[in-house]
Amino acid sequence: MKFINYRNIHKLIIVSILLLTAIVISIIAYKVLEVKPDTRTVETHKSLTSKELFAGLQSRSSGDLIDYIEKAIEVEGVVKEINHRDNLYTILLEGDNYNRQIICEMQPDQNFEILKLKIGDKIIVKGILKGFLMDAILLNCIIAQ
Amino acid sequence: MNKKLLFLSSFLFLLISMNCNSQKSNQYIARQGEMSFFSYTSAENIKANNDQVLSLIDFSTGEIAVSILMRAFKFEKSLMEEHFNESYIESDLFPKASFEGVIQNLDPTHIGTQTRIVKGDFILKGIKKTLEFKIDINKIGDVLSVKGEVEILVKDFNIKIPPLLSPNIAKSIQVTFNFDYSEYEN
Repeated sequence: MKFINYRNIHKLIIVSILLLTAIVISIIAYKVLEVKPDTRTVETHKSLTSKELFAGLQSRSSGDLIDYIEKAIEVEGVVKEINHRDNLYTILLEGDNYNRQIICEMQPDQNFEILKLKIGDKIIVKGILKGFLMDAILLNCIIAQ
Repeated sequence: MNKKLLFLSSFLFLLISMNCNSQKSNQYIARQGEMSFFSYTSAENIKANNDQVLSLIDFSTGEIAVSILMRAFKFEKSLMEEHFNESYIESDLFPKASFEGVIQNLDPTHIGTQTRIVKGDFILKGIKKTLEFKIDINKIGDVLSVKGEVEILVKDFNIKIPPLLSPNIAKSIQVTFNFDYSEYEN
């Protein structure tokens, strides 16, 4: 009888350990999923110039660009405007004409790098393509070069 | 001397025609309008911001248009963002929401703030609803801003929330916005 009880306790301990491990793994997985990835660590899916980006839209191969939505792309362009609001910088790159630009909302850790920039500088930004309104919109951008 | 006169008269003509054009258009653009929405429940409060909202306004007619890229909403937790885009809004199918309306009784000559009602159609997930809400319009010189808030009912836009998560999401979503415009030269 004593032996049976001992086996039951043993089982209980194993089940408890397994349960606890599952809970810990779930919590870790949940926390990992909660954290937004740093754009530096995300794979670049396409590199192009600002002109190529809008040319792609015009030739209605925008389907190709839509494939890159929610993916990291690199865009080379000329700084047209730098805005700062709520401790967040946004760089506007020149597009194909006055009405279409590339809006790059920067990652907060880029603030120091942005201070070195000036209007007219040619840069490469890497960011997550979110889509197009009048302008192309990239979030979580970093200065790649 | 004649050349100088010719140059001056040409320059003046250019200035006058530019002035006439800008008075005629009276259009303003906000490329980086701010929009936030809030869902308050006893289980959870959810907030999201979008700082890249596009809006155009014709100050002579009071017409206003807003275009919102749904994927540009930023949430505190990335899992919330994923649920929002993939399950509730279906951003792949409906990437944008839009509003087109007219500001009622807008006084284009008023300097300072005027509170007006705007009435128009809001389209989300391909579903059109007429909305009417109050906005504050502030115009001093060429500086124009519009801010306000509106309530959106989840049930109006075919947003399917799983029963398990329904206590976490409010039935009515508060949307606030603040757009700073600059003159639009098209």
